[in-house]
Amino acid sequence: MAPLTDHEKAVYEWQIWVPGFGEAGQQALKDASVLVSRVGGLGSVVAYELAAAGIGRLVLAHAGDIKPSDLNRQLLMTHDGLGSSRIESAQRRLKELNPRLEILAVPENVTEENAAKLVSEVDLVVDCAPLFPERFAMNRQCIEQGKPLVDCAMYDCEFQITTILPGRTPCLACLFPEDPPAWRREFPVFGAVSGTVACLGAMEAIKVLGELGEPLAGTLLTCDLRDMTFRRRRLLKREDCPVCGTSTEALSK
Amino acid sequence: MQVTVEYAAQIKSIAGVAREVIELDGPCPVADIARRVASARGEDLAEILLDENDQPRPSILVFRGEDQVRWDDTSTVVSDGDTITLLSPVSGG
Repeated sequence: MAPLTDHEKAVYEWQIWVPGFGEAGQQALKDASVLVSRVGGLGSVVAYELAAAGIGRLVLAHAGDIKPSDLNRQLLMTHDGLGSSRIESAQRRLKELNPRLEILAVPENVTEENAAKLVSEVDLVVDCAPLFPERFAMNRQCIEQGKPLVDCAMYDCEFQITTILPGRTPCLACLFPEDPPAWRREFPVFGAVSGTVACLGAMEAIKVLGELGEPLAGTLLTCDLRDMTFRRRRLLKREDCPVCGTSTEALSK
Repeated sequence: MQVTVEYAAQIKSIAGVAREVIELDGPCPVADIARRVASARGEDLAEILLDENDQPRPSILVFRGEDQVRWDDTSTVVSDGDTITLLSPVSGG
């Protein structure tokens, strides 16, 4: 890959100063590619932070057009874009921030059919999707292809985030072995809640790619912003998990 | 004995409280806690916590302190002074 230019060293100077990151970390980000699905309340801010941090390539997957109810939290969408493509708006705004950023903009949501191809395009995935079938499809492909998966989620004033490292940590199917029957695609949330967990998700991606600090591996960080309670919860791996399990029962599935 | 039960995400909305202290006769598996609060707080909470066979739904996470516990783990017992958290899955959007 191309080395950092003098211009890039100037743009990223403040984060290159971070101990343990440096020019080597910045070069790792430049050489890296990340899938963000979708680019709504969570994914907009994840993508924006990664673009600002100098990630080399983003693969964005999101179907549909901008609706009024997107605008409280989907920060890559704007009022004058109502009715037009979300993915085109996201791409345009990210390029305004970082014209060097390479973007593969896919006007589809992740499905069982396209997940393998989308995950194969990248080094790391940030899961920002609202529906569990999409999340399970990315999880399965990340486990099969050995790619880290940062899983971000929110509800009301709360959020949850964990980083799944294939072979090392529980996967999403260990935590949720079935499609949660009570979950609905639309739910109460503030943009400041999605933005908060999105920044944490972007930071997890930067840490994993730049080999900085300790990611939330096997740990679920939960937060209730109503009273600012943060908890680090230890997660269990299921040996009989049909996606990542190593038991005889799991391997026969 | 007394146990603190904390509710998170959708479960908290349905329960109508963030946490409560419940009285128990003695140590018990975590699944008994789910059945106990479901019985006390009504049908909507029972529906999100328990399946048609009165078993905790696998997609609901339960923690004793900060450690996840499997619902079918009968060797881990809830004791006096413990905090049990019931957490429903959430997602992006």
